[in-house]
Amino acid sequence: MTQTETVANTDNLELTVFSVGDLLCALPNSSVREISGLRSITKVHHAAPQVRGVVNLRGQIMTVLDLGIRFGIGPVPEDRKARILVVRSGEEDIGLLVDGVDDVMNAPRTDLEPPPSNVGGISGSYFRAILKNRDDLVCLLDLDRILSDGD
Amino acid sequence: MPAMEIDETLQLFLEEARDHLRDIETDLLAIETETGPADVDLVNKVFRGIHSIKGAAGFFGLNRIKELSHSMENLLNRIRNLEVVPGRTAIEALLKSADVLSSMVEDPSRSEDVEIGRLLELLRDANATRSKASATVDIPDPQGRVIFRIPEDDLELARKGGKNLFVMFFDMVKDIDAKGMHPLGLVKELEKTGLIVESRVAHDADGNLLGDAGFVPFHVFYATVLDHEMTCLLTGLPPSSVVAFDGERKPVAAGKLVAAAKKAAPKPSKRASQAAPPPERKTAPSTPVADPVVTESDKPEPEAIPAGATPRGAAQGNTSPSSLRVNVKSLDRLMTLAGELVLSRNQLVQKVGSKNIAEIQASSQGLSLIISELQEAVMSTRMQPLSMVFGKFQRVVRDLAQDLGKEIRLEVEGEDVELDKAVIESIGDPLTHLVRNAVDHGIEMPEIRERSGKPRQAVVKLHAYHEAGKVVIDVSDDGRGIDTDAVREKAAAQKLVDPQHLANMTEKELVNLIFLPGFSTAKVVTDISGRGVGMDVVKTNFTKLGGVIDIESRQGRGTRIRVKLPLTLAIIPSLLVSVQDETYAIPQVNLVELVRIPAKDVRNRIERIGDALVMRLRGHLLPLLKLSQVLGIATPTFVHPESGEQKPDRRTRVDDRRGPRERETPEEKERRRNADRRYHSESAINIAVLSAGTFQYGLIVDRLHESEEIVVKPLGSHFRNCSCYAGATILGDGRVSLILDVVGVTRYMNLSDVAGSDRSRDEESRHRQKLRDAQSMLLFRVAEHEQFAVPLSLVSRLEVIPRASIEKIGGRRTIQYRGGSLPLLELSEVSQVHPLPDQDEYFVVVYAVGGKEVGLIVSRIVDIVEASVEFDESTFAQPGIIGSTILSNHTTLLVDLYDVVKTSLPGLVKAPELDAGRTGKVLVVDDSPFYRRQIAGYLKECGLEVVEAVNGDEALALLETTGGIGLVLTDVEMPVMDGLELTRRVRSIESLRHLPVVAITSLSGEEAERRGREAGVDGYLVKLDREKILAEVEKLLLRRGHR
Repeated sequence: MTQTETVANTDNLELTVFSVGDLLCALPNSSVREISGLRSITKVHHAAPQVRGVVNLRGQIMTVLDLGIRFGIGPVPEDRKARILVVRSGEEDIGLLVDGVDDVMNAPRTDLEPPPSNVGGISGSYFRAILKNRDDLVCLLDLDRILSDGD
Repeated sequence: MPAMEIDETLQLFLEEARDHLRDIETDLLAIETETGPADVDLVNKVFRGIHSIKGAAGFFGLNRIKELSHSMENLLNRIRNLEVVPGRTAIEALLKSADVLSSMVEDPSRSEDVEIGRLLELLRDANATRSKASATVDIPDPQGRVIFRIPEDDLELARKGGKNLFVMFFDMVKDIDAKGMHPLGLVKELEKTGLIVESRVAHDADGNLLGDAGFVPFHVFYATVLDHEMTCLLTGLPPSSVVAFDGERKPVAAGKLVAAAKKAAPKPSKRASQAAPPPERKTAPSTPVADPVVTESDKPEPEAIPAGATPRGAAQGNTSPSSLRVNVKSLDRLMTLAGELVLSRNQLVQKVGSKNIAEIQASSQGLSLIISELQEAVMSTRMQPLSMVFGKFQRVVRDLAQDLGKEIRLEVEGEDVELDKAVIESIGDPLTHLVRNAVDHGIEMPEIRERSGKPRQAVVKLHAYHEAGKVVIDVSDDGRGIDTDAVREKAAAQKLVDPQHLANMTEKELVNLIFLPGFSTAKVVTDISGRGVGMDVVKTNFTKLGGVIDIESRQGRGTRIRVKLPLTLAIIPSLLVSVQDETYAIPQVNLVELVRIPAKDVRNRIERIGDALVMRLRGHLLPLLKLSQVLGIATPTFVHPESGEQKPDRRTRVDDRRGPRERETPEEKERRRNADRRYHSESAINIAVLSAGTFQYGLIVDRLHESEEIVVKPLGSHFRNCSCYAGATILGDGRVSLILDVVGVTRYMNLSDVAGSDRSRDEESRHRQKLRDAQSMLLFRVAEHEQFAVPLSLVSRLEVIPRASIEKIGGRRTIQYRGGSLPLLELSEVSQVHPLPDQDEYFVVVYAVGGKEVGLIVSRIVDIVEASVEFDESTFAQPGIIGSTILSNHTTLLVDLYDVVKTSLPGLVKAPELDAGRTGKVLVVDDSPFYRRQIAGYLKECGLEVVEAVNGDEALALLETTGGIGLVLTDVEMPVMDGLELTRRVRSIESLRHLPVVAITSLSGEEAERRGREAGVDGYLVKLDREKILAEVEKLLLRRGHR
């Protein structure tokens, strides 16, 4: 798994930090191909709940997942702050709808801690690690779990 | 020669071999089906194909390929010389060998491991006359080393026609490469003027003597009509390298190059690609004998593609579909268009700068023209001929027929019709299924065919053609057809369809049942077609491609399955529709028509049966789906037509509309006064009528938009379970719109043809019940304020006559009409009605009584209306008038045309005189008292005794209790038990089986009559046609009386 290698082999992790509801989340920069502004999302009925819809990404139809719904904290509002993170899943690009992109940070690998056991619930299972950044706690996400079909 | 180049050369060889092999199969099958002596041209063609494979295989050191093709060649040669008849064994052996050869060519690196012993045996057996252990002749080089071992037969063959035999010693580097020649080119060149009996790269030459790696000897044993000198000229070899073979064991002494040849010796290698470039070259670069360095210019030209190899698409089947051969012309055209595109863009950019709108418009028009052309050109590169698919069927049919012991000829037409590559690739399997089905299930055994008077040899036909922008493929056979009884049984046994509905199904509906999942009518499940993959899969596959499948079958005559396919899949015309603010695309190929039901008609046109909505469309019932419900689009909103304000829509049912105004409650009236939106034009219902394979349904959407050519794009993996979408597309404004899968929607909603037609049948009969006594009535006036009606079915013609043409003879008005005279009657002569006003022109209603035509003069024809009414017989009762009713808002008198004639021209009306005692009573069954009395009246006039019943049930009871009934006259549409059911029951009771039953109906037409005949009625007549009814009654009663 490339992500594990990134985590294991580098002393410093470059992370894209973004918010989903009140949560501060992060993904390694290496997995984020592109950060795109919000564009018109076409709803796809009958799709899984976390699927927000599809958008036109330079002529390709890209599926957009709503991380708010994925974490069980309600849909991400389509406002000016909202962003779509484009990540790669197998052969296709997937967009992750988030409330806003906050920062790009460098985090020493040693700062990563396993998620505390009381961070449970739906969202907890999508976290790989927790990182303390000044006063905030940043959750490093498990991309494969997020992209998986199930809940 | 560098390794890369030989790889290229090998690639060329393989591609060519594939080409040859692809044709060989078809050709072999053609050879087999020929009667009489083999078609020498065809055999020659196959022979040459195999031969060139053999020749080149030797060059690449692909020994197994060489051996196999060599054996095939031998057999083919004997066929060519008419020494072996191309019978089943021979062709079978050749086909099998061609199969193995194909797979070897596909994977040359493993071809050496392929076991071909059995095949060689087969080929030898087929070549039966051939001496078993054929003696071989060793061909040694000047050193006495055996370089070729050639069977004597081959030698004989090669010598035929006085050919000279030469052993040629090439050095691949010096004699071929260095001269700018191409090894394959050389082989071809040689083939033109002679025959390569045997060829090989001399791996086994003892090459290490001098460590000289500069030589790659290539030996060719060549038979030609050319003499020694010419051969040298042709090959460019020095005379010493071309050694004549005189049949002795030793060729004539050779020169020094022959000696040199022996020095070269790359190690034997199984990998063809390594065969020629000797690795030793690197180890001894300084060898002076032959410089191994090949300069760029010495590279063999890749134009060695034979002239005959026309550009074709990627080969079918197992060859890689990722590459495509494109006609150079198409590429040139693309190039030109790309150039145009650039020019046009530059123009546009310039003009945008100038801000001249008119010029910009002109430029953009030009640009769009070029883009259309470009699109077309790109699409055309994707077009492939159907022969890619059809090609394999000769073999499929032949093999299958042989296995099953059937005699079948496959006729193929329209192989050159082209379809998009993607379509071509996807139709192979379903088409194969159809063909196999035809052979396996459709075609009978030859003996059975003979017994039923058909030729032993059956015909399966594949026919492709263009029709209305689509490609149609017919797969037909002249076999037994689909046994609808078997289908019915099977469907009943498997409980696929409700038994009651099954009983009512038409032939066509029954035939279509075979598309249901899990259906197979074959009595024996063979391993050929009965593998659980049913016609449902075939249908689904075609439908996925935007295709439509239709089946037509005649028992004992054959079956034809018609598939209509779109030319391409990538860009499709489609209709955009929307529900609320969501836009969807519907492929035009699935679109049948658009229907808009105005708000005021909704209640009449759309009906609810249980949970299902149906719409009446030209007499058929169409199941309806609401797109918003299909997709679960929540909280429907209603946009106020004037204010644009959005309100939640309180309507939950489409048919929730106001009724006729007279039935309104005061509250409803009040609401309507406030501009009830349910009557507003915006409230009209838009329905797209769609075709999902064999049946249609209507999809209710909010708005219908324009048609657009859309580019189909795939949806991501998260949507693999969403059956309602066929993909997505990007609209002009950049937004994504989903493409509806018309068939997927029906699956999702569990809407099926059978279910749909069941429902519609229920509804249909209900509807007919309502209209059951409907008749077309001709409305006319005599005096302006009195309206009359006659059943249209009784009227022969309407004529317009000038008043001047009316003659008065013997107190009777007549006109000259069709060479005779037509007596004219006026209603006021018979009935108490107002007389005819003075007019210049009159209308004449012409009808026949007693075989003679008479005319009723009227002043004006008002209309023809469908009326389902009961007539009041008392209020206006008088001679010439049957009764009265309201038609088109007027009190209308129904004219008794017979009574008019009877009163005015009593001589014309003849009623048969019948003796009730001899003929028995007549049972009249009709739920309408009016018609019952009318018919009973006709009968009583003839002296018949009449018994009456109001429905089939009562009639049956009467038939059981009352004796002496000699005839039944029954209405068709009746409550409780209809006339057809009554007839069926009567026919099933032994004592009544021969009782004549005549259906009397207001619904005429072929279909209704056919159904009547099926139920077993003896006659089918129209109500109020007194003459015909009486004639039929007389005929049937008298016939019975004679019995």
